[in-house]
Amino acid sequence: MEWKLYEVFIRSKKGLHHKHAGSLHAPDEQLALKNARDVYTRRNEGVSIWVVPSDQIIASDPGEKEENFEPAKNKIYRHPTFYDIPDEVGHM
Amino acid sequence: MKDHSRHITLLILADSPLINAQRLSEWTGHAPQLEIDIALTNMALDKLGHARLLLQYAATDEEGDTDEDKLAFFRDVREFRNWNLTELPDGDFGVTIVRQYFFDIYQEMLWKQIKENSNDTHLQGIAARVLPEIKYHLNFSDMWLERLALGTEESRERVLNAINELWFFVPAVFLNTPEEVNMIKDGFLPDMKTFQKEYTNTVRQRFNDLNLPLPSHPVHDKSGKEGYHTEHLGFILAEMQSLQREMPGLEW
Repeated sequence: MEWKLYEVFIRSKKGLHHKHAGSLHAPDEQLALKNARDVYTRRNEGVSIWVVPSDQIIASDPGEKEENFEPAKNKIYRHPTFYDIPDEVGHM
Repeated sequence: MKDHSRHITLLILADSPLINAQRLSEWTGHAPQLEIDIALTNMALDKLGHARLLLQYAATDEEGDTDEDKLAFFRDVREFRNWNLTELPDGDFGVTIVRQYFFDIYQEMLWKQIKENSNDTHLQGIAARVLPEIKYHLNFSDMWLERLALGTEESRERVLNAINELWFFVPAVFLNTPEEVNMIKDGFLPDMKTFQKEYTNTVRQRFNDLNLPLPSHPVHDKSGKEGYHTEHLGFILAEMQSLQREMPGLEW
């Protein structure tokens, strides 16, 4: 049986975002949703489930972490912090 | 005699999910896919939960020393009141799905009626708890019934064989036992005989969608609710009750 791989995202009752819960196999969309509920909400009920075929997710390459994710905090030349604000302007 | 009728009626309500849970649990580790394994075992646990609520209620009827465990583990075959459909072997996945489908269409109807029309508030409370789970189970069986019926030639053939074997046990469940007749008069239990047509039409319509026939061969006139069972129940109880009977009172 060729069952497709799906990624599962669940938003809990108290949450605002869907969190990645894991993956599972299913033969079609409806069963993917059903299986997600059975496999990933056993103990705590979520309120919303998203399933996405894994091959539909375009993800960043973990090998390129360094280039992509150097935090902007280290790039002081990007921050406008070198101005003296005249007193008359007040707080900005 | 009223209390005795209520006790038996509660056993009738409890024993089907109990035996069905026992059968479903046999799939543990053997289902065709991991996700199905988890779904079936979750279903088994849900069904066991339903049985427990009802056995706890039944235990309050009898004077003397009984509880849900004694009722589950120390009754013999003739004292069990489950629908014979639930004691049939799991067979292949198709058989299990058809069995669950027949069972849960009935369960949904039954518990919806209890929730809306029973004059017993405790039983209505139980109905409110079990109905969402039964609906979920029915959705699962229905989804799989569709996929198996319209899937491959092999899956369709297995579903056809399953229907042929299992339908034999279905219509008898609508016959009321004497205890149920009393509880219907009391307003405790709905008269499921009046829902048999709706049940058959619901199944027939769904089967039409899936190009499945409803058999027209003769059917059994014993449901199991009166205590007459197939050869399978003895084996199920032997396994289910063996530990408690060997070491009564044993606890985790």
